[in-house]
Amino acid sequence: MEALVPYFSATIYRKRRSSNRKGRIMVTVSQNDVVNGGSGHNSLAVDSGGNEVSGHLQPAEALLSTSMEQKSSLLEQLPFQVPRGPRSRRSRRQISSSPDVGASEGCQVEAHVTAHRPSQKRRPTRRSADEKGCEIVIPRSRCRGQSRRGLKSSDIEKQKLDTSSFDKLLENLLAEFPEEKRVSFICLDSLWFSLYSNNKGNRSNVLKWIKKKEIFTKKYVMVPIVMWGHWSLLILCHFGDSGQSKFRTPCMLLLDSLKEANPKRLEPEIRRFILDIITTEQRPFGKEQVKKIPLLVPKVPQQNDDKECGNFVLYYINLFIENAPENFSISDGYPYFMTENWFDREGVESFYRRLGLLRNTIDASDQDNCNASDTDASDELIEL
Amino acid sequence: MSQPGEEETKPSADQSAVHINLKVKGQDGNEVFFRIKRSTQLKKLMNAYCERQSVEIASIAFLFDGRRLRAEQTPDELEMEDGDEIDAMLHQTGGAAAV
Repeated sequence: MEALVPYFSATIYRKRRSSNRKGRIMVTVSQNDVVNGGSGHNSLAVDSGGNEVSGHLQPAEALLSTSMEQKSSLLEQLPFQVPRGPRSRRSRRQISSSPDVGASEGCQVEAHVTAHRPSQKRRPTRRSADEKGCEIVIPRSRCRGQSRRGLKSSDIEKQKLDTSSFDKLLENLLAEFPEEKRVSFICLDSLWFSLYSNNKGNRSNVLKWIKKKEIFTKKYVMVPIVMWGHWSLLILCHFGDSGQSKFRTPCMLLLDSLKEANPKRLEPEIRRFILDIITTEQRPFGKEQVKKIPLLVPKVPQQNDDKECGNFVLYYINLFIENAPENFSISDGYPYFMTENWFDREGVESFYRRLGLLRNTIDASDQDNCNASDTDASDELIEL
Repeated sequence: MSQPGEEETKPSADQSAVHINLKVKGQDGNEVFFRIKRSTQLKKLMNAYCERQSVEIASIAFLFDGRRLRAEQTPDELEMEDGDEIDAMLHQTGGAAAV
């Protein structure tokens, strides 16, 4: 009974150009489906280009829906905690027509999610007859088309985030903090961890980039992680203090809006990453010492659908910067200042409104860039 | 007098002052080489690369020294040097624990 949600590892490769129309790539998914207790191989076709995926893998979808329903009914007893759902599979239709919808706060969010699903269905999605194999169609580039503008703001806020919009939002978010807050932390690029993790050839490069950032001069280092199609946030606390101070002990916090996905599955990868960073930067930590740095998973607000985790990571970053004290130590007792009342649902909602405004600003400036005049002198670029 | 010598090297020095050779390296290790005017927006290179690889430009992140490149930046602005490498990688999307 470890995790409910199946993980997919995807290998993406391009089909031969001649045999395919522009912009189409093939994805092979190895699926480790916990419920089925086995693994299988699915193949799906993906149109590359857009920022989000409009289709879903069916088994995963069914599972998530199941856990969502369970969550709705238990949400009031256990705020922000996602209980493990039953293993039965139910269709989403059953959930959306449930009479409980709207009865609790969690349910409202639920209703909201179902309400905007039809807009997704307008996009062409082709599914193969096989129940396990299905096709995901990513919409074409949004740069010129303005499909996003046609959506309601509530739709926009609940969209999946990719590493492009995530970093744009983050940049804007951080710019709003006063200087005295900004000096105590640093955020790493959201692509770096997956780049480090997915390709051994990239590791030395990533480590080199991190070294340039001089992260150990900061109290807190935020490492947004997107792995297996899920966002979570790693925060390195007080790594510059090498464990000498009584008030600041190094520790790692892993914040995940989907507890069911078993955030600790990332631990081996995170520890390798940290050890590599520390070795590269010749910090006064021994290997054994690094192993002992605790990796803690505090309770944090949980997502109510299968899209929001990126937004939640932004929320955690924002909240952490706003609230993190000057010092805290393991001896103060975990979970430090992150007790259950350091967040509430209202905070999440108002943060969403703020994100919506930020997005509008970013979209507007993107649009300007797209429309910027494009000279076409032939000597400007030559492919060699 | 070093004047004559300088005269001789001037044409090629001028050439490299205007243009620059850049390498775009994909996640699969594939390398594509471009020669681009220093004052040209990198949008041009990004478009050409994506066109060649048959991928949408919005789905690719271009990193130079770990930093994301923006389409309107130029090699001059970024102080790029001849032979510099740009990493091209697919943007990652996250929603839940399944794609």
